[in-house]
Amino acid sequence: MSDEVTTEQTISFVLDGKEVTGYRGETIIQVADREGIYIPRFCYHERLSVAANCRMCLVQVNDGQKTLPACHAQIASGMEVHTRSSATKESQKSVMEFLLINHPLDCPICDQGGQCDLQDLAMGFGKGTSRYEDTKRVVKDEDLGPLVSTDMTRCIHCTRCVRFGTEISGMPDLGALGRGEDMRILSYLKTGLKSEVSGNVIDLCPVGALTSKPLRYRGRSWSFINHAYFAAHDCLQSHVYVHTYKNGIDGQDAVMRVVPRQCDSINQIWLSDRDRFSYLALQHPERLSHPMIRDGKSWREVDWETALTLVSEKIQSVIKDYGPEQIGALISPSSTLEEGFIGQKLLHALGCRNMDYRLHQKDTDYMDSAVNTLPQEFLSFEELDNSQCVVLVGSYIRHEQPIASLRLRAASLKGTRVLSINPVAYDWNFDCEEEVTVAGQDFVQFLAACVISLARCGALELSDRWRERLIHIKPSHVSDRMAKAFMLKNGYLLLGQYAQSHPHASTIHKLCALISSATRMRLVIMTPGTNSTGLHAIGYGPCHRVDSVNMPTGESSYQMMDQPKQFYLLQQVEPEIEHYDPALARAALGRAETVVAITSFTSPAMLEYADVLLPAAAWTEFSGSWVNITGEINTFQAVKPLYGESKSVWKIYRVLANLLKCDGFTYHDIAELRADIPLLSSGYLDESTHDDMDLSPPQSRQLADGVMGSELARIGDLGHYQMDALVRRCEPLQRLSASVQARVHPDTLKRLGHDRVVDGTTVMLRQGHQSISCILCIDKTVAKNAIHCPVIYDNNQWLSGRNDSIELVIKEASQ
Amino acid sequence: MVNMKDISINSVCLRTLDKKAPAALKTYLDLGGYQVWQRIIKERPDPSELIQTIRNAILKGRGGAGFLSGLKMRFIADDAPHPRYLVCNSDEGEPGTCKDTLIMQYNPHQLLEGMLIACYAQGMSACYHYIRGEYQAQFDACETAIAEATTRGFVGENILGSSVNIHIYNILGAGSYIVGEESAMLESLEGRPALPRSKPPFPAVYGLYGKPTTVNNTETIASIPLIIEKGADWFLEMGCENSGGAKIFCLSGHVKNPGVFEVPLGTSFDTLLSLAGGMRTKAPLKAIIPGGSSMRVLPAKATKSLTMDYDALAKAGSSLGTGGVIVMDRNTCMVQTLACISRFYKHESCGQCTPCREGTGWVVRLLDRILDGKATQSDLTMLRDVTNSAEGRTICAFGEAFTWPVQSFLEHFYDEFEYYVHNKHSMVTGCQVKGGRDV
Repeated sequence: MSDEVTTEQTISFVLDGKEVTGYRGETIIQVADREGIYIPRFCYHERLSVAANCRMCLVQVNDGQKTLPACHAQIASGMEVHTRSSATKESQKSVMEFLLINHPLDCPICDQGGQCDLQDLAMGFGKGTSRYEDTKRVVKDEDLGPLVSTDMTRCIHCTRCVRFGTEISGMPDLGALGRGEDMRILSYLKTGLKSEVSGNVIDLCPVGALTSKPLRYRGRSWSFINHAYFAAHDCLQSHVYVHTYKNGIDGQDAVMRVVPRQCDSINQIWLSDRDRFSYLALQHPERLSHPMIRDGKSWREVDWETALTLVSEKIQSVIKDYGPEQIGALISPSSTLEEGFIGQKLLHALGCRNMDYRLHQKDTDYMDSAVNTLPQEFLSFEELDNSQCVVLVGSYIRHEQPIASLRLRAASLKGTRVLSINPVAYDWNFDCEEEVTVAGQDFVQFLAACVISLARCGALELSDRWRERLIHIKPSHVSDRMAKAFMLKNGYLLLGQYAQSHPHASTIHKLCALISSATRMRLVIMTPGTNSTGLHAIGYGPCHRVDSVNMPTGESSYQMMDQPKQFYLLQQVEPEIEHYDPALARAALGRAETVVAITSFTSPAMLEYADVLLPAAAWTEFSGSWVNITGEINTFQAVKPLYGESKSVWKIYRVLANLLKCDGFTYHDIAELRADIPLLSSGYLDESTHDDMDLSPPQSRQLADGVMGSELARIGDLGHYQMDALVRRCEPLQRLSASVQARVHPDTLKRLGHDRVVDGTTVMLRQGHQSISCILCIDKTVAKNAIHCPVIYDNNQWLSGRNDSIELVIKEASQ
Repeated sequence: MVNMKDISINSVCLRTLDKKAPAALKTYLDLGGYQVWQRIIKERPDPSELIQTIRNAILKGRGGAGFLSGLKMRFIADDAPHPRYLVCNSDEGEPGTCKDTLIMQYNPHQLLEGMLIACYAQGMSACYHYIRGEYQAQFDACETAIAEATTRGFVGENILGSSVNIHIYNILGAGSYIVGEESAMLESLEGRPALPRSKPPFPAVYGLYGKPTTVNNTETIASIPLIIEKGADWFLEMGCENSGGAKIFCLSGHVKNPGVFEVPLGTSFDTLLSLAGGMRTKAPLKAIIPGGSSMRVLPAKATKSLTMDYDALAKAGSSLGTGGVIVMDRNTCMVQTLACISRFYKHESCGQCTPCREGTGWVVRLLDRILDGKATQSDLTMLRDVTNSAEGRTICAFGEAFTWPVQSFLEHFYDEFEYYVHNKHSMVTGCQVKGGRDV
């Protein structure tokens, strides 16, 4: 039976005299590509819809002199396709001549030169000379923002960039206006490119019309060296090629650009702007090149020996004076497994368990209790593609994981229903079927109502203890609708930044785990940073049980700042921005006796609170391993020499351990270190199942008591161009960041008695002793009883807890 | 001289033209209008019978391509999914053509009845009537007609108390030529720029909003009520061999009384010319473009004993097209005429695909160069090469529309072009037209 179906669906035909088979519905170009027969093309792209407008792929079919576009013509049984016949060649030469008459032919000054489809195909399929003698068309350039440079005179109107916007990114930034010769590709409203994946049009453009603005006139593609690497800004770890240039900048090898590396299971052929352009920060003036130590109020460059000796002496004196529990270590969630492992080993050897990478979190109980397992399942994009339903819980996925958002859009176009429970009705790039906009305490309440709705449908059997906790929760028709969606065949619950940074993250997680256990919705935490999953898996943190270590539980990142320590070890973090409570962190660091920062960059705040600065290898300069959200372990090698005197982080720990006379730190190279890490030697990461998840109700009697009881809840996300040290120092990306505003729903203002306040008023926001002034924006997309105010990245202004309560102060006089 | 009384003029689509208040519902009812429609609603004949009648009448598409309308209706398979749509193409943009405007303005009810019958015959419940952007008055006339017909229950929900529902929507375009191409029209109806679609799939399979769709010209649809009323034989008899019925011809150019005449297919060109009062002056006929400016030009000698029907014109080396007959006398400079035509096509190219976007401009620049007296003999070769390069390589038939005039003008009047190139002025007028902008 199945054989019959196959023979019916396969079609055999003749391609350049060779009998080939394809599937019904395939086009000639698809089969030719598979057979290794190249047909020239400009507008055709395997990931975009067929436009058939460049006409370059015209081929002769059968004996007819009329040629057909291979990208659009479907194969038919018995047809004969000639890709090298005189009719085909004549068609292709004619089209090439038309394409070139209005193309400037300025290849020597064009950045696309050497990697240009038009240049290559003109060589292969053109006539060699032009008969056109009239003036050429000149087209005014577009300002598309700081990332993409334009030379629209070179445009050949293939509309790949337009189709990318309408089909892939879902943000139609570019379009075609005008007719005939006057047709132009432009951004309709002169807004430039707003999408967070806009850089992909650089790769898609077959000519030099859209090129990388930061790379403009800085190098030729043929002199770059290609290295495989992984992107560092989200838990997907997009596959990239890093292109370096020997003696590129100031005589040093430099990263010239980053381009996507095809990986069908993650980023396909796309890349987010963050991953593509953050390399620019590697040359930032704040880059630390030498070890430095504080000398009163000033800083002094020293050699490594001096610096590390000083650090080891400080550690010894802290342990002697206050005990090892007065040491606290905060590391970046993008730290490699090797760095996490050796750092943890050193701290354990010193008798300290205060270590954490979850700077964004206040409530970490659900992670701490997931001992030797993961508090989530892995994400599979292949399964996401075939999911019936995806629920975003506190996730602005478009900014947090732009590539995941593209994949979600593709799934939604195929029929996946997307629902969102968020504190803001975000502007998605896919159709969101149901948006529940709730803030603060209501967030937990709403999830609890969904659980009750599920229980009422009979999908979930609640334990007595749960029932007792949820006694006051009333389901609504919205939660009933949500519950119906949860009961669809399969799907994902994606927990984003807000859900994780919520003061009751554990309750949210438990409720979601409960929903997941009762349905076929898989629970996935879209973790910040690159390697949160990996660091959790190797047991990095204050609570995880590690064989041979028997010590009391340590403190989480929040507790470490809440109960200040005398000695802080910071590794690639800037807690004054990244910590859940920047003001708390800034104060604790200021009071500490010693702060040692292993870092690639300095900042004005760091120069105030730190005592020793140790330059660390930055992205592209270190080797290591990461685990991504799909459970893959990615091991990679450094692709660029170290900057200045900086060193790999694991080596700094090793030398420090040796200076502190700790045993077991004899690693000569990274391979020896890897051999010691069970996860890397087994090469396999176990996925958790519901049986492993703790589904018991939260400890406190009430579902979400205390902190959120006040009038207004802050929604304080860390913007997508603020999330790590590298992107914060990438100047073109910073130019795309909006200024911080306090966004409030008009009903909230009315309830507070501020009816007459208008948009643009300067207001005061206060959290405890901290206050800042900023511009008010009245915005109906924000949940009621909440203020959306992102984390501020300015050395002089701090607010407290990202999602804690907040006060709005409006001086009538200032209006 | 032809005896005018022997010719039946304005007997199908323009039959209300000589009546008082030709567009009024009463006028149409007095002529027996809507009786066919009422009979269909009452008797509910098998739709395929209606289509067979149209096939037997050999009604050919009046919009330009001359495709058999009955066959086109059959392209929608019996088991094709619903909804299906009818689109009436009133985007009359071909230079030299002004026939659909008269139908809409003076006989809108017959057009409306045609749409209703066509919808019934193809199992459609909606018809979109796309009217050229400049035709505001005609749009208003069609709106009035729908309002009148609705009050009588001829159109809308539960037509004449039956369970048949057919809605007709008049849509005013935005004034582009290419939207007259059927798939571009569907794009425009869907709210996008009028860029022709690649075919296949054809509209019968994937049309408006992806649904099975038939696109017909106004004159084609307006012919249907009389075919059903009087029978296929009557229609066939009126026309000539292999083409049924009458065709509206729009005579313009160097004739005494330019105008619109609906005459039976197969009427001789000489008769048609006499209807327009003959040539304007004593200057003899030089050439005609028989079917709108995109069709090939025919020299005077080809019009001898020429009959105006699909087959005869194809045999003569051109095509009936839309029926817009442009008549040129001896004083016409063919170089300037071609430049004028080509400029129109450059302006109207949608810009989507390469050969047309770049080719239309190139042709105009070459012709301007000739007019400016800066061309050489090789430019004439290049002019022909450019059109050969573009023809048949575009998404839609626009590639032919802008190349056929160039090719045929060069074929029949090469000496004039050569003369202009060598002497830097026109063989006919003796003048040089600087930049060609003066035509």
